[in-house]
Amino acid sequence: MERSYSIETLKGHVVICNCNEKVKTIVEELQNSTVQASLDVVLIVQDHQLWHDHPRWHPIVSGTARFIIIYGSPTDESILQKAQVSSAKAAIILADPKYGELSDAPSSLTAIAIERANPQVHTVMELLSSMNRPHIEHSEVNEIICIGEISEKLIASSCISPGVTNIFENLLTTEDGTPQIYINKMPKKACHMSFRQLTKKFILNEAPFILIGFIARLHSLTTIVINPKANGPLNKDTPLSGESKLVTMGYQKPDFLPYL
Amino acid sequence: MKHSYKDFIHELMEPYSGRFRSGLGSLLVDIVIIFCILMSCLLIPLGYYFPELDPFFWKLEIGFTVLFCVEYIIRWMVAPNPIVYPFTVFAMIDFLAIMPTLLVLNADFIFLPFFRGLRLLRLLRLLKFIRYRIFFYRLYIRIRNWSSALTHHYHLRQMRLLFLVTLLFWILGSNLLYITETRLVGNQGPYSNYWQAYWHIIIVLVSGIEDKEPLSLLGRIEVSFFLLIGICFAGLVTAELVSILVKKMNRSGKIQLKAPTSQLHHHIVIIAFNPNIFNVIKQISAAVKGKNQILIVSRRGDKIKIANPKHYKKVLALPGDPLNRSILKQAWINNASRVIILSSDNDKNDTLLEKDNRSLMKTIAAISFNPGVDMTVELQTTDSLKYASHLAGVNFIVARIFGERLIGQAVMNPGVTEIFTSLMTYTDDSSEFYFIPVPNELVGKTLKQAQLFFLDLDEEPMILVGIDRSPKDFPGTNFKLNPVSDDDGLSSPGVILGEKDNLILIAYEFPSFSMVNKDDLWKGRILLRR
Repeated sequence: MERSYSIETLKGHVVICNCNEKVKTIVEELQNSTVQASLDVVLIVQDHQLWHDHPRWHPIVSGTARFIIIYGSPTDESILQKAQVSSAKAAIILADPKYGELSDAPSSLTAIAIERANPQVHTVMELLSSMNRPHIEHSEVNEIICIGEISEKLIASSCISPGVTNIFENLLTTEDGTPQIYINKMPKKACHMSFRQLTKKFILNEAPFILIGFIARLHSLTTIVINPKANGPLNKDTPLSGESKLVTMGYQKPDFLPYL
Repeated sequence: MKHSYKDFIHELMEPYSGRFRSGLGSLLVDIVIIFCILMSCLLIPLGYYFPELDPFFWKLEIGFTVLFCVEYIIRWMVAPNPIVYPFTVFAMIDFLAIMPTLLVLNADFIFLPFFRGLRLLRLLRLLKFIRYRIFFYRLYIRIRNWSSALTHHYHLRQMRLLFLVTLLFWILGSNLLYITETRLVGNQGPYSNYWQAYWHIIIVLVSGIEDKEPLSLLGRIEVSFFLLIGICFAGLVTAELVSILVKKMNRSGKIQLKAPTSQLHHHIVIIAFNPNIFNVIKQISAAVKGKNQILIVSRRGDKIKIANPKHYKKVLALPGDPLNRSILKQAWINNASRVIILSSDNDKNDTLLEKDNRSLMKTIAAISFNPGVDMTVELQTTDSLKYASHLAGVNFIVARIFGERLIGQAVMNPGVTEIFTSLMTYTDDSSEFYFIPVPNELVGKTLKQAQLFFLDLDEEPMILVGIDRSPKDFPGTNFKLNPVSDDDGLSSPGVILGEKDNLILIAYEFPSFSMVNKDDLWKGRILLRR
């Protein structure tokens, strides 16, 4: 279902480069989210024919958020300008089916082009071969998602703890009544409090979220700590600085202040 | 939730299971007790054969009885229910093991007429082995598999046959030559001595050299025949040895093959092959610390190359079509703890739906062997899920769905992919989700109290994130993460934890305080790292 929208006033939108079978779900997830504001999406399609040959890839746009399609190469600077990457919140680079299993290379180049156009944009890249991950990790791409890796990890998790995939499914879906994982800045009021102190406060004050970890700097390296231990350099009782972030599980973006 | 001293001794006295709180101390206790049982029973025939040493044997017997008495008392003291314990089967067996000696000690005034009979009753302590039946069964399976692998990989069956045939020809030849020579030339020839004939024939058979020739023409004809047999024997042995060496060289850098006669138990079967298999094995091996064997059933099973054989010590391959029932039978699916069916990439021209149909057929085939096994099936399209969902209890994974959602989440909550990756990865330094029954201490407590309880559990860090009220055979089908709403009766903090509830925890390992059912553990329903 395509509608015509003006792209003049786009800001804080998401740019999706390339089209494949994942476009539909991703756009619908971004626009129909019940827990966060719907996001405008710009889709850059290189192969006009490919997009039109696959109507099943087309998302159903029902809300107020805009879904705009631009035809052209996502590595082309003018196309990126047209998509207003400079003011975008995030860019998703999908694997282009045209290149088959070798699409990681054009995807990486697209990511570099986007990062050059807007270094602040949050880039998420779909990777096909997990072997290429170490090479791309050294680039500016913020998040790399490899379906093969997810498959491997989920199969192993499901084998060890049957039923655990349902938990991940539950956490990943944005449907109403399902929790998600959030990463948020530490409120100033909570500065220098430890994970243990914060958790205790949140539990006692019946916060609608569960603190499961934090992200802090250790020797100038950003470290993610899920389920902190009682000992170690970043532990349950380490005072967290203002730069730290809290990782929570909840139904909506947590508001820490009322529960501190 | 610290383990008490009593719990520790109880676990120590329980037969060694090789996992979950059952450490090497438990194995040592088992070995000492088994040794004492055997030695104490051996004293009975020794007493009859060496009556002069009887007083010494009797002292040893008293020593063993004291040890069994101590064992009995310790078991009684640490039993979960000390009142009922003396009436349990194993306690009665333990009592029978010490009773005859105790009676004999007092036989002077009570049972003197039955003195010898009572001493024989000490053999009843052999019944104590019943307690160690699983230990012995495992030992038997291990030895059997080891010998099967040796027989298969080193062609021992063929070698055995060759040896038997040679032995037959040796005996036959020696006797034949001896009879021929003594009948035709009397005592003059080298074969006229019966035992010398054996020596000469073995040289003929093994080296192919006629050391001492017979004197009669018939004898020479017979030796010529045995020379030919010897050449054949040497040729066959050489061929077998070369074949073993060539096979060894060909298989270097590949996954070892399962011997056709080896029997697997509580193993993980991976059906079909695709490039993801190596990381799946890596993950599973990290999760169970190599405690369970992994068997790959695939047409390409004999061609799977591995980079580091050290990491694949517990991995076997069974080449063959996974839809062939004889192959599945050889995979011992009926004994498997888990079955994983990967989406095969054997035929590159297959559509996604065709790949899924192949996987589903393999699923049905595997279920027909073991309907109760926990099964994980990799599918490619969501369309297949519509009809696959009729197979209750099977976990179907369409990774694409997770990937699409994760991409969406990565945009909305930047950085979240690393959190998910961490939760999905099994390493010593990362946490995963675990389902555990509500510990006794927390039954009747609120979720809030349980959360505070786990927060201060510093020996084993864990976070309580939800409640699972699924049926036992279908975990993760009725659960609530972060229960805050009033629906489902799982509202927080008012929700009261019941005996039948399961907790969903984020922990580094399967919590040690969890009340693991020994039967579940033995049958491999629970896979553990420790």
